[in-house]
Amino acid sequence: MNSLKMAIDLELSNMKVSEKSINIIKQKIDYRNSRKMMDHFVRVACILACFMLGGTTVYATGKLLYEKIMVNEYELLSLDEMEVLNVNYLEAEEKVSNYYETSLYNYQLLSESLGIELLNTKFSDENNKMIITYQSDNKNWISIKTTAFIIGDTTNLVRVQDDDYYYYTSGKEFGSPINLQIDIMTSKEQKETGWGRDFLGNYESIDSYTIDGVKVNLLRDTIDEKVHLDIEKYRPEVKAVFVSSGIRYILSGRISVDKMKEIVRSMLE
Amino acid sequence: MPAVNDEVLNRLISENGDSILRMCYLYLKDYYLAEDAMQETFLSVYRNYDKFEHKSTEKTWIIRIAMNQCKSIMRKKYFQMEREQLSVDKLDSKEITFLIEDTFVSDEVIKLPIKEREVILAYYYQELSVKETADVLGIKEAAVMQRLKRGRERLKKVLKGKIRL
Repeated sequence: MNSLKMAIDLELSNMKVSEKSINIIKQKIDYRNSRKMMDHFVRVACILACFMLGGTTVYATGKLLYEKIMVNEYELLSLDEMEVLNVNYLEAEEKVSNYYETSLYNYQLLSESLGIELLNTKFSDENNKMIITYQSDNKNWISIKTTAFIIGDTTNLVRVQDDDYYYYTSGKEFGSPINLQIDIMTSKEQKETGWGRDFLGNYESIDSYTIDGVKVNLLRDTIDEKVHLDIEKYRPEVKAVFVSSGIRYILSGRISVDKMKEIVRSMLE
Repeated sequence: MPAVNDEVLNRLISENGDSILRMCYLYLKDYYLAEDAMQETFLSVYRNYDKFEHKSTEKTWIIRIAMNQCKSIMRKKYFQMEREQLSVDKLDSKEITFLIEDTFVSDEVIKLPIKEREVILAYYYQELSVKETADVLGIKEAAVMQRLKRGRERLKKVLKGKIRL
């Protein structure tokens, strides 16, 4: 009698990694390496220019190249610079080596525990559905995912067991709850390495603007439109990415661009 | 620059690629998304190989990355609802039919609820231990045991002794 593995491998024996797939992987690697090389040259050129001109503006431009936001491998407007922050690491379980994770349910408590003031919004209103997943290596970085940061007019939120995911009923204004991703650098090494975000494949850039001196990139998903069966009712996901006080914030949810802008404004004003 | 060269990447793909692709297919119920997930997995492996500390096996590490890629795709609500609602028969386009003929066992695995399916894939298909499965999925060993039990019972019922479980 076959084992499950043998049976599956037999049934799917024609399903193999194709040469085409391997070439795609290698092309992506080559493309990223060439981008890195190019960025390195640009960075060096900026720093050289800084020394030659002695101007702070040029130097600032050189530093801004560190944190890149990419959509389908195209770089968007550079955001404000992420800073190395002195924050408290939270008590968390070591999931794998040097990777710690814990969950919280109160945004204010998260902010106090970290010892920094995180941006908040009136739309959030400390709802009791928030699931905060804290991840860190306790050395270089902290990454915080806040599920259902804003629930808006969505209803019937039911949490998927053992997961930070909700089933919900869309509202008129909010097609989904708004999630918030927060990225914090905690070491010079991380700063030197940089911390880019690449929204591969599924997103298009729709706007870049500045509010109260903070640069904001807006993205919208595209892949859903191709596969969603009920296009009439479909609301694409919009993301807002910005850096404030050295911390990167990424808001995501199925709302209008205008509503996302309103939420960003409420956080920054 | 990650400390992995073409030779290492080729070896990792050669040793793990097919099983990762098949696992992603059984996880996502879609061949093209599975290909995307597999490609992104090895791209991530390439970019992060220097951070891999060899405290788990390469295989376990790659499976963890692949599972996370699949989860990331699954988390899109539209995907989850529609894929879960569609029957297996409707999922296979003509173009890939040649890849997946006579898939009685695979079809039954695909029909499992996702929480049971991912545990069955990690434990039975990738042949990880309970502890490794728990690490890969980020859940407790007790939860792995519980889901394995439920998944095994469902499969036994439909496979009727044709497969050793």
